[in-house]
Amino acid sequence: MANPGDHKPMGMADTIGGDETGGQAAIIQELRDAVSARDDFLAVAAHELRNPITPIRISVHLLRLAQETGDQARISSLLDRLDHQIERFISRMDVLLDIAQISSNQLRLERSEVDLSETVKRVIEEHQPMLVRAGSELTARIEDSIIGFLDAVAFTQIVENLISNAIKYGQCKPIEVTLTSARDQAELTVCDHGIGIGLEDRERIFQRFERAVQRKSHTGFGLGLWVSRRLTEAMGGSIGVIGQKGAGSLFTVTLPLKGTNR
Amino acid sequence: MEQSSESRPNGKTILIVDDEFGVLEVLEFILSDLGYHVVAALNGQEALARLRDCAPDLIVLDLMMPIMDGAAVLQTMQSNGKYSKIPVILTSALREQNVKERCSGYSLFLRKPFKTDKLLESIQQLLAAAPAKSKPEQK
Repeated sequence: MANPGDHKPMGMADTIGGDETGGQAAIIQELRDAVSARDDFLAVAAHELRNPITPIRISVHLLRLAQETGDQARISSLLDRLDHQIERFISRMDVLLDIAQISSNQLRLERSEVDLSETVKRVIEEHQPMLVRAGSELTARIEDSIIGFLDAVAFTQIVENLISNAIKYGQCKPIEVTLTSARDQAELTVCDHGIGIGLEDRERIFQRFERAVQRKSHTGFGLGLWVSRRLTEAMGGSIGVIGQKGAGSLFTVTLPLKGTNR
Repeated sequence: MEQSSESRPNGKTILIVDDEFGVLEVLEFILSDLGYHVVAALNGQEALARLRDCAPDLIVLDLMMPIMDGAAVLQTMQSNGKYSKIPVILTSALREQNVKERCSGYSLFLRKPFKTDKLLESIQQLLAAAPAKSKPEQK
């Protein structure tokens, strides 16, 4: 795999050399950007595919050891853990699949009656171990029985992305989640008090995955926000962020409950 | 109740740094089970704080992390004589060739998903070869 950012695609800069016109220079730059984007995507895809397999592989090792000792209670507990890890892996793969579908304009929503309140509560519950590990306390204010005609998987994906993002970038500080409804619209907010996002980065974090990872270091926001934006917009909603660098972020997702495709 | 590192079977402290919750969870489980004192951190910034507090004998460090990545942690460690001798096992989903272009100062590289045996062997070898550690900073 080539080093991102160090490309001379197809040797064009060499062949055209000093004859570059403004137009040619722009094309060359575009090609360079495209190659860099491809490499960034490969790095992100490797990260997303290989990372969650690591705990699965370790769990298989632990299961083999437990099998040797015949400790049924331990085997059973390890199998539960393995099952959970595979669920997480599938969820990560779904994001990559979403990206592929969104990129090729093939995203198809499957709308049904979804209990948004229960979905948000369940996602929060599933993130409890991560919250404990991160040392963040999450407070939720969820209005009961908000029902929407939405794609259940897409809505779950959005909530998961925003909550895991708040945990990762929240610097162990409190996180607040709210879900309310008014005039046939639901509003989900996720607020952290972590590193925050500077004004110059607010648009970048929602851009295509190619731009979501900073080239030299991998400290940028991941794929989740771009996917969240596309899924929200596909359901006729909107997503935005406010906040300041060093003072945390407040993400707001607004979704029509009666179902409007965009 | 938590045991002090000295009362653990092998008395060694390992700092594991990874933004992947599942990785932290299983590594903590397997290494604690083997008698190591395990300290965990979810990103580089947290790792540097733990480094000052717990004076680990070895670090298992992920490269791609939010807030502060593994390359920045290695850079900080290399510039501080107190930490520059601590063995670091660097892990990443990337190939080593790409990792080398991004950072230096690690003792050994393991590509994710690594084999557990390989990780455990590497930890034992590096700990056996490592110089005696310095004491944690007094607060």
